[in-house]
Amino acid sequence: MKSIALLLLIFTALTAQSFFNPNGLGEVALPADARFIALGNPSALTPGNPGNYLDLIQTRIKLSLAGTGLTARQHSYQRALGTVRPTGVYAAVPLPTHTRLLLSIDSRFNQDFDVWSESLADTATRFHIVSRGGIHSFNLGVSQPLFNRLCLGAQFQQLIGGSRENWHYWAEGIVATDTIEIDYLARTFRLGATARLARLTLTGFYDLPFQLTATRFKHLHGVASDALRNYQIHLPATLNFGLSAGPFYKTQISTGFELRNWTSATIDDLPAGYQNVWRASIGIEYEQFPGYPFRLGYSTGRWYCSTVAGGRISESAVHFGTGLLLPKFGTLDIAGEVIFRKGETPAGFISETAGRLHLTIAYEELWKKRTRHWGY
Amino acid sequence: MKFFFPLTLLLVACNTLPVGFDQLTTLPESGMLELLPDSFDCYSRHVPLGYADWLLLGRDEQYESRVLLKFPLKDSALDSVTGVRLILHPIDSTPVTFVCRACSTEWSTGAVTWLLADSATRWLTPGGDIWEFALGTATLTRESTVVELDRSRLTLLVQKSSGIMLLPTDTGFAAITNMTDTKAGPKLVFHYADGKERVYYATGDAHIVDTLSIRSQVTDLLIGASFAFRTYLKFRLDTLPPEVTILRAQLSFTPRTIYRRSDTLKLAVHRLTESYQLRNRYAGYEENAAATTAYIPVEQDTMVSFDITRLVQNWVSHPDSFLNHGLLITAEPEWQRPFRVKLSRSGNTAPKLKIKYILPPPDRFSR
Repeated sequence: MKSIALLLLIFTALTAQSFFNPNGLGEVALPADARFIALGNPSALTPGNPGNYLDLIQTRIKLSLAGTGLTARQHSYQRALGTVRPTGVYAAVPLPTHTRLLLSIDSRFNQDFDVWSESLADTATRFHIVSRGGIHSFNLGVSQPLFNRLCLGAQFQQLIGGSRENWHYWAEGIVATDTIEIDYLARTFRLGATARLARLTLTGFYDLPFQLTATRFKHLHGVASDALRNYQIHLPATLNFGLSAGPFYKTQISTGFELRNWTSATIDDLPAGYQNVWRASIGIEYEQFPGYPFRLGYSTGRWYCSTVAGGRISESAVHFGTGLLLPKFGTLDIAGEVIFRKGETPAGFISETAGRLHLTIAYEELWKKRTRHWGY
Repeated sequence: MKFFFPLTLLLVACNTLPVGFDQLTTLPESGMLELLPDSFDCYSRHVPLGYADWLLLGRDEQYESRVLLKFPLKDSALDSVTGVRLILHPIDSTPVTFVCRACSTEWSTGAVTWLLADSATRWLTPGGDIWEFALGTATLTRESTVVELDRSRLTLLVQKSSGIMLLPTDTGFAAITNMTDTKAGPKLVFHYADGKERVYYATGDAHIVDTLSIRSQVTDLLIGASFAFRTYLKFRLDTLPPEVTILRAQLSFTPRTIYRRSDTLKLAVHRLTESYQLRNRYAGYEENAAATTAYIPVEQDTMVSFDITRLVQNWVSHPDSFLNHGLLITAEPEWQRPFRVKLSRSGNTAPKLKIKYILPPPDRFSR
């Protein structure tokens, strides 16, 4: 336990989700569920899809936690960073009419980064920029199964978030700090649907376009002089599909496809410079012994934003994991992923390798049949 | 557990390489500005030296310093006084011959100067109003100096005079402990016929300094102590926007030492709180120095610099409430032993203000 605590402390002290996070709105955070992360993270198959609650029998609560260790290389430089943070809570409650009430909190964008400028002569200004923050979503939705084969869902999403960038300057022994704070606010809807045919499940969700308001404050050189500015960021729709097939010979296959047509994204009615991108994943779950599945997945895709040089940020990942039954409680899913990112920059490629460990603990309400004893 | 310490070192200490730095869309603009004074001037002033750490007595071809002492003498049993001795304790070993005279005008420790007896009264004669007769003469020696005062002038000294003034009669300077030193401060001892003695400790003391033959031009920029020379400088900072961060603002110049009586010269920069153009030498300034420095002028090209980053930052950030009226460079404190340095008006050795600045960082959405 001491070792785990120390590791958590180290990772918590250093925050950097990606060295590409200064771009755009940062890294897209996918719905967090260790079971599906181990299968390549097909978003449409996760609890983040309000239409994906066909089989819900009892109240279920899932809490996910992710720890990230990251190394990145640019030229001959290499850095290692890490972070531990909760990634999502999903709760689903079945109502008497078979309607499901959905409540969740998850992350949409991550803006953590930590970069240093090159250390040159003593007279040069050296920068250290530390950013922490992101955009999170508070979700309230309903899901309605139909004929045991269809499920439709809708979710209201209140996006709220903020980031704090501390710009530290060093020059000839002098230290100064400017701070940029950005608050985010938006409301949007997510529509989801699932159809099941024999052993085949087809599911998907659609994120409506929405307007994100970003309010920026600047705190300059420690004196109370704030510069306030508002940005209106228009983000187009996102479409996610998922296909699950099985089980065949104790094996289940899951695939996912995400389409993010964000070329038309704007910031204050000016093109944001984002791109149309997709992300695809495939995963396999093999369960030799009941309750102890082995999962393996692969995903590939690109970031919606580009590097400063206009280069693409490509990402591929290998996913793996397993799950455990927790008697009288629920399940514990464990997933690991190794993510390889690469992006062309003015100073050459940045190659980033991130290792993530996800834990999702799921509580499932137990219903016991009461035995009636006559005479009491 | 044994791996965690090196792992922590790896993650914390060795982890400042510039990976991903170029992903920042645009870096804050930074630059260096070297400004020459937009306006400058110099003035001299007799400043009160009553709060100096010592009393300076002496003279040479350029400066003269006199010492004023005040004792709470009592007008009783003067007839039985057989002798009066003034006891002084020099700090320096330089022998300085001096004469003691009775002061004829009241003066105050905190305000007395070569020209003023106190803040509202001018001496009738610059350098102090004194009776012409001598109370006694002596030469300062290393340990202590005892001056036998003229017994016949005792009544006048007690009843009519306002203390004793020590006037140097030979060249050389020596410092004397002042009344703040309870053991070695100046004291006056009355010896009585019955063998008793009465000791009076100084209740007021000061030294006053004047220049004798300084050949300075009106256009000279001088900084000096004892007889104060102050240089006014003003730099225009209009080119810097209010949101700029001043990383370093350094005022530097290479003064030429004209005269000094100590190894280390201490200078200070004060912010003017009133317009020098309007108030001239009477323009107010902040008593607390914005920056100080001490240097030993071992060579003529010793550069002196002041870090006035905070001052410049305030001038730039709050141009309406923190007005830039300019700077005053003074000796700090001005009761140091006499010195005088000269600043160039132009060239490499002239005062200049080097500012290293950085503009605010852009946010991730700025274009």
